[in-house]
Amino acid sequence: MSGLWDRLTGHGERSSARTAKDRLIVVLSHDRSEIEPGILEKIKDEIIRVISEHIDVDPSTVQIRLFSEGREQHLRADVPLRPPSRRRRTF
Amino acid sequence: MTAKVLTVTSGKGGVGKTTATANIGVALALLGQKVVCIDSDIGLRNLDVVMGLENRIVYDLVDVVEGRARLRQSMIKDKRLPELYLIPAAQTRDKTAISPSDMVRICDELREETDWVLIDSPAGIERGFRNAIAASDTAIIVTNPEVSAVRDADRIIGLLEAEEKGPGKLIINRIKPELVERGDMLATADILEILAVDLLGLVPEDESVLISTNRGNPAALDSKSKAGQAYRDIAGRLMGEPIPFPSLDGTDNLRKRLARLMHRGGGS
Repeated sequence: MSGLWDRLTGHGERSSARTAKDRLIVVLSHDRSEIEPGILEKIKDEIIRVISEHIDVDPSTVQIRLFSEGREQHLRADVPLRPPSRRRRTF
Repeated sequence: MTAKVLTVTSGKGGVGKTTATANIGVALALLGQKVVCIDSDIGLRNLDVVMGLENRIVYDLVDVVEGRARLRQSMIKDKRLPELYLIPAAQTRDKTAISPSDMVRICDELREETDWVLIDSPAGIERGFRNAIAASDTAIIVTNPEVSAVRDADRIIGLLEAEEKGPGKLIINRIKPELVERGDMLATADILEILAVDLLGLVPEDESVLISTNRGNPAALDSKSKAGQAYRDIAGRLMGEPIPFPSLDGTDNLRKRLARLMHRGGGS
């Protein structure tokens, strides 16, 4: 059904315009904030290190990215906590 | 008269700044407005050929700045429209021949005697761009529906905000509705969402622009040209008329696409 919808709207998953838009959103968030992508990786590593001193987190699930609301820039970090059952087993 | 000074700019080269300047100038003059177009691309003069006035240049912008000519003497009168003028760029100098304060002084002088001053900005974000926006009341940002042009437009919008020149108004040029419909060209809504700026005009890709430029007759003079119509709409909006934007996204074709899909029996 989504295939049909995509064909109707012309915005299928593989549409190159969609890819262009997604790439632009990422590149412009870096251009606007003047933060190179590599800096975000460093910030991410440090956040993981600081949080790990107090809370058990899985580094592979941590996401940190820039996003825009209108022309306003935000830095968003998402640090999922391990589910309680798994946490109990670790301790 | 107190002219509004509009700077046509883009960051990226080749998106249609000069064509837009010539056509908006023509379209405003067609509405009975007195318009002076200034080519601020010193060393890469082109607005003269696009407007078809290249054979009548005696004095240029740098001659005025350096005192060899009075402003009035540098204004070339258009041969088709009585209230349209061009101040050409110098071809043998570079951007450093004029300064932002020179542009402010020249535009202040023009404000007294015209309705509109249109400044064609050079590509780039250096001195030439600073000169072009120095006197600007409103920037018109021209972009194309492609990643590099949209990225550069965003940079220009950021620089305009930093210079407190406001966010400007956007023209999306060279839109190919069939590519947008197919999902292979950024749609107007996507570009507006990304840039978060007001829309001034949507100009379709149109071979009449090339042909009219070959002849030195801007497309806005051709009543049959689709791009010309888009520029006449832009002039109307600048005059405050609430002219609706045409759909160049193929969204009008939803029914057509549905019919084609049904015809194919829903298969790929």
